[in-house]
Amino acid sequence: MKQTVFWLALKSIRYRRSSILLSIFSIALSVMLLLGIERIRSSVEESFTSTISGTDLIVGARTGNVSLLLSTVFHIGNASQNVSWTSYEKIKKLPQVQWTIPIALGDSHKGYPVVGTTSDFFEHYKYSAGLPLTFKSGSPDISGNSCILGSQVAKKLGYNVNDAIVLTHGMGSEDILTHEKDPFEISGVLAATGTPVDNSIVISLESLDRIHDEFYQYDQEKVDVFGGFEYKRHRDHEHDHDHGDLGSVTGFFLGVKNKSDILSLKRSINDEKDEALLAIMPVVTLLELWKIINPIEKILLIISLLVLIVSLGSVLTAIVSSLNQRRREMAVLRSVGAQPAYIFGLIILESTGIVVTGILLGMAFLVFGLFFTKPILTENFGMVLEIGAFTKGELYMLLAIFVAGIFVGVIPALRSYYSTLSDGLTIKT
Amino acid sequence: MDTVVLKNVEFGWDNSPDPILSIDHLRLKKNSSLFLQGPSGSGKSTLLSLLAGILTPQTGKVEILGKAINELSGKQRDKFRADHIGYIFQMFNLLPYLSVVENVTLPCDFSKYRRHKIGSSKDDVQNEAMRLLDKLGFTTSEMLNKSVTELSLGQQQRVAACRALIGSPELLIADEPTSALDAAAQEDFLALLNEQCHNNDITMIFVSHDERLSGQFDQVARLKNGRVELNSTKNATP
Repeated sequence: MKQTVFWLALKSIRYRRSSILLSIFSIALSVMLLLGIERIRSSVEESFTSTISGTDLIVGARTGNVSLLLSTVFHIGNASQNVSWTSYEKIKKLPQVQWTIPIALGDSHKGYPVVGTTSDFFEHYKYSAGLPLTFKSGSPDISGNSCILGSQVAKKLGYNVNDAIVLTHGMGSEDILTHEKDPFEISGVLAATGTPVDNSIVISLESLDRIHDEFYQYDQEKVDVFGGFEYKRHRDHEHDHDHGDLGSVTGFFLGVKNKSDILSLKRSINDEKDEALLAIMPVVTLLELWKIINPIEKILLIISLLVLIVSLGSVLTAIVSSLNQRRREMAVLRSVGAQPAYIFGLIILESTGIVVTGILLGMAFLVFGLFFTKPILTENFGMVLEIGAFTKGELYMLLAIFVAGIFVGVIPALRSYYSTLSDGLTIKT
Repeated sequence: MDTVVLKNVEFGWDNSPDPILSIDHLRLKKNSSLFLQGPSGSGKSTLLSLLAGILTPQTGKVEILGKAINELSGKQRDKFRADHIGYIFQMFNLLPYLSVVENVTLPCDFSKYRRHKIGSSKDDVQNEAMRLLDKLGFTTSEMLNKSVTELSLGQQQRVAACRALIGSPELLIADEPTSALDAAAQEDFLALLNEQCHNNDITMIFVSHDERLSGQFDQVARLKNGRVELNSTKNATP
């Protein structure tokens, strides 16, 4: 008898395979869509909050936490104050500090920010789960007039290694105040990271200083373009005995030797008497910033839920419509002695089978889909989606679909249970 | 022992005060046949559902093989039906996803009793199905290998008859099984069915609105407004 249940259910399913395959397919697509949106949702947060990783403190002139993060990491807004080279050197030499990456901003190229730094940038800047910067082409050479482009800059502007570019003074996209005497040669292009690095141009602090030096000489010879405005990257004249001496920086990233020193170092930088400085922990401030923009996350979650509801609706429709066609079959089975409970079981078995197969297929679709679209997404949208294992949250979602699918299957099963009782052996359709 | 005895049976749906079926007395002897005639709405399908144990009457007694099936639980009635009653519908009797032979052996999947009547092994059931199919005109293997949806209506009804006959249930109910067939096929079908019932001691209730067929039955009953009028024919024994 138990055997008969399976045997008949299998035969019946095989007979109606095309419509059942469509049901399975529609559930699989819904599951894929749901998981896909969920992946994007979590990766938006993930990639945002790990825009910078491995950096223990970000130091800049005293301002707000968020604005320091925005200016140094996202290159949004201008820091009104800089950190003097003296303070930078002083903190860099503290025993707790393992490495620093100076960041000097202010110039741009066609709207893309130029980051003046040292080669430490390529060594110590980490993003996502501690990933280092890698090169798509060229080499990490920023000596002399060499520059490195972020992946989006190279892609959008169509630049290649060895091309020459001219930087613009300030952040305007119009090339009015250009450093045209000093074209830069592209020595390398970074691979996509999904972080603001993709949109930036990296040069050395020395070359940034040099072009400004020349710029101001030119400036002073001709007209006072800035009308008395003193460009913030002035040289530190107290140290002008050294040719290689550099001007101030916008801020710097810092890594400590021992993680337990972070808080005390942060406090001592914030209490610095010589200069008003601010040290922030990027992880904490990124989360603060994320809270401001996380309605996006909620919207994606709502979309996910709507997709889920629609997909369950399609399961219900598929099962109900197939049942209407099968009332005769039910009557025949009853006439040979099948109990209503048996028919109930038959339908539950089938709808459960459809839901489970749909879920598994949807998971497979997602993995395959990600496998093929991952490079495209990373390249074009700077979005790094994880293919890896399914997270607990995702498995809970699938469990919810499974449970809801069984409930959805119970409705037509109950309906047929009562209709086989009341229809009896007369078939009305 | 009589196969069917109805006593003071009344049936009505919950929401209507008047019973749609009211039968004081109806009796069918073992190995007899009844021709039941009645226009639609006369309570015909209700009567068949009562006999098959799908419905139970509000009052009275439905006795099949000496057992008051209206007193059994739903589950017991389902088992009773599987064991003792064969049923042929007007049309679309067959499950399209089963082969001809699988359709015929279907009752043996639900009833141990009918399976054991035939024999102990699976092959016995297969052979019995083949024997019945052969008796009802499925003489070539070509016909057996066809999908049931490719069979003609007449052939489908004959397969349904084999299914109702397999394992020799004591009662066979045929609900207008010939209405979709032409006159010649009707006669043929009925003759074969009668012969098989007779040979296997099966009591048959045959429903039709075509009075020309009534001559081949022991008893003729007419349903009118939920009441039965009995007319005896040729060798009737009231």
